[in-house]
Amino acid sequence: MTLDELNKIKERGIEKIHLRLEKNPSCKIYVATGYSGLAQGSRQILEAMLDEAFNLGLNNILITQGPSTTFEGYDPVVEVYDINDNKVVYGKVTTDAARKIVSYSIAGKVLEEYVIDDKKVNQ
Amino acid sequence: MRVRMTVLLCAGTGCISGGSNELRDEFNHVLRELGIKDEVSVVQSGCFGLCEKGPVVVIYPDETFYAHVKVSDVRKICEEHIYKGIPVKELEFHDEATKNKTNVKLKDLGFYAKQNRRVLRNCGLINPYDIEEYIARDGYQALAKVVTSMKPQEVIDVVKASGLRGRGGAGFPTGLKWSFCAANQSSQKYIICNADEGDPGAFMDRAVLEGDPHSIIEALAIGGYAIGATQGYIYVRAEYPIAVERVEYAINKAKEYGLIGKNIFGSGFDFDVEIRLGAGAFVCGEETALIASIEGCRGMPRNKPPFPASKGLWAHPTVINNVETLANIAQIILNGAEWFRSIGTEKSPGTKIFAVGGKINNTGLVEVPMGITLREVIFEIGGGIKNGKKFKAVQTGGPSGGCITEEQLDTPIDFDSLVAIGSMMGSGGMIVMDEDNCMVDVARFYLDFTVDESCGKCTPCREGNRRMLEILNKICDGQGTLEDLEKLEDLASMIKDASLCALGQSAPNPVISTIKHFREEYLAHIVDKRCPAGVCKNLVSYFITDKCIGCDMCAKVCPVSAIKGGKRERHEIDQSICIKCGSCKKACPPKIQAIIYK
Repeated sequence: MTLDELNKIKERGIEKIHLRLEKNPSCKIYVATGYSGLAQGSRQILEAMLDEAFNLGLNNILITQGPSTTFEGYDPVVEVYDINDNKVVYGKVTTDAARKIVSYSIAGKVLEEYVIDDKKVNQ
Repeated sequence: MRVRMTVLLCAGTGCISGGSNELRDEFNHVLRELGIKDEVSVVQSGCFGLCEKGPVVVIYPDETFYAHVKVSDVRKICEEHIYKGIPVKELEFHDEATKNKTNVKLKDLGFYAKQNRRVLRNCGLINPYDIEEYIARDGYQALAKVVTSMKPQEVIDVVKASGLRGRGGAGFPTGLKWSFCAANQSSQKYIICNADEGDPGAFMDRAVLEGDPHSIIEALAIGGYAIGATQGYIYVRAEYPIAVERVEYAINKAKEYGLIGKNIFGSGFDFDVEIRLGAGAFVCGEETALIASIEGCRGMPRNKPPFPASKGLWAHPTVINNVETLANIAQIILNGAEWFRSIGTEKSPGTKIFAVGGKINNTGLVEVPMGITLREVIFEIGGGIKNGKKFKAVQTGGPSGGCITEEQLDTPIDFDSLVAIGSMMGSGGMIVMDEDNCMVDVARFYLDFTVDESCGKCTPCREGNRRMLEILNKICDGQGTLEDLEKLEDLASMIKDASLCALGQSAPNPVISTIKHFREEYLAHIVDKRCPAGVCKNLVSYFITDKCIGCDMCAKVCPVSAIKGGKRERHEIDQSICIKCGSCKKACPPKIQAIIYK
């Protein structure tokens, strides 16, 4: 065993346990599940986002389920928090849009077309 | 779907006996049924510390802490939390600090807030059977650093500078011990891990062995390099079968990966580790008795000097360190002596793990910085006394320690301060007692243990402690005299002075400290023939007062049918038949409480 080999195993190991490690992710993405979310395909959105994050080799991002939101009728809904806990809510997200949201969010950008908020909903 | 969630099940001995393996199987089964097994990893790890609330299950990345989880709860957790993302509120554990909060994280819990989980950092996080998870946590990096870029003396200097003191009870500076051994020339040296952990109620070392076995293997190799030993032994008590299994597995894995064995990291340093089993003798936790046991002899202590560092195992220079001491080594090498000293006290830097038990709400393992007060450990982390009873005393240091009273609770915990108030830290056992504990009986319990465990080699311990036990039994039976109290005190000081090893020398400690702080209880037993706590059977009588409404609940539970009385008439206990079990008092309805003892 050399130090290089040890470090390679370490990288591999971190992949395995990364969900359990304490992190300060640069952005947190919650896909709203619950009954209406599931019915509208939130799991496919979740799957697409996880896949995209893996393809982009992103380490410092949290993608998981979140509680149902008050934006009824707009599922699949995705909430994104940046490092300062500013929130953006996306609605009626497609799998393609979901993938874009991952790369936009990590770059600090917002995918305007899919953003929903109280104003928009009550129009 | 990629793995997006981890179900972490506590698999320390406590939670295993609570059903952790059955829970693991049920999780795997239900997740497969729901078709989501690929997205969720189900992992068993070491002790989370909150043993009172086991079996414990933690869901990541949410950090939801589920307590008292049963097999019948698993389906709900899978369907509601894992599939739909809705945590199961009834199973979540909250304490005073978090009861009104939402989205609670592990570190918010009052139980964890004041802890510094340095030694226990991998327990409750990694799978102890997976060496790659240990490596992911910087495992074996310290060993690599040591053998490829440090001289043995440099390693000893770092450990000395850190101020690390033995965590097995004696508190001897570890760096100094290593330097003594390193200075001795010999064709063969040994380093031994003392994993005998004999104190009743102590399971700190067990948690490390079960949850993070590689930390010990790595530390032994580092120590071996520093002192010039190529052979290490881990002496584990046979009463820890799970620990033995996991350590054995870890040693084999480390060998398979070439992390121990020949030419480690190409440095030319060879090191091998083997397990040796203890066979149920408390005295074998004493280093020279332990050495005798490994040699195949009966476990009996030897005269010191010579100390093991000059003449130990098979007369070769040997270092023996406790599990918790060793578990600090790798982190000291990687993070430095200053990091280690950054918490704790000047003379006792670092953390200490305590196994908190007895009449306390949160029994389990806690790792706290030295210098924290007993009050903080018992009332803040420990959650206070069970059932709202009154605190009476806390026993620290197991059968070698003493009792600490209410007035002394603000003493900061470290090696020297506890000795100053008549107790000792020992290996970390902390038994909390309330108003229902009889302190004479407590002293008797510990002495009973040490008399049983005495090897018999030296007269003061073999004969003296036995005589002390006889006197205590007399007192608890109501036959004690004031002269007996004097005899106890005389015997105690003689035994402390003249015994060969620490077992004998410290066996009188519980007696000395309870006489000092609870003399009035001894006097009640001796003069009034009364046990104020209602524990010593011969000094307790149960009576039914006129509050009795004749509901017959007591008579129904009496195992010897000693209670008679007509319907709705005041009942009476026949004292000649009564065996003082106390079942009647427990059975009497809380609103009535007609049964008293005196």
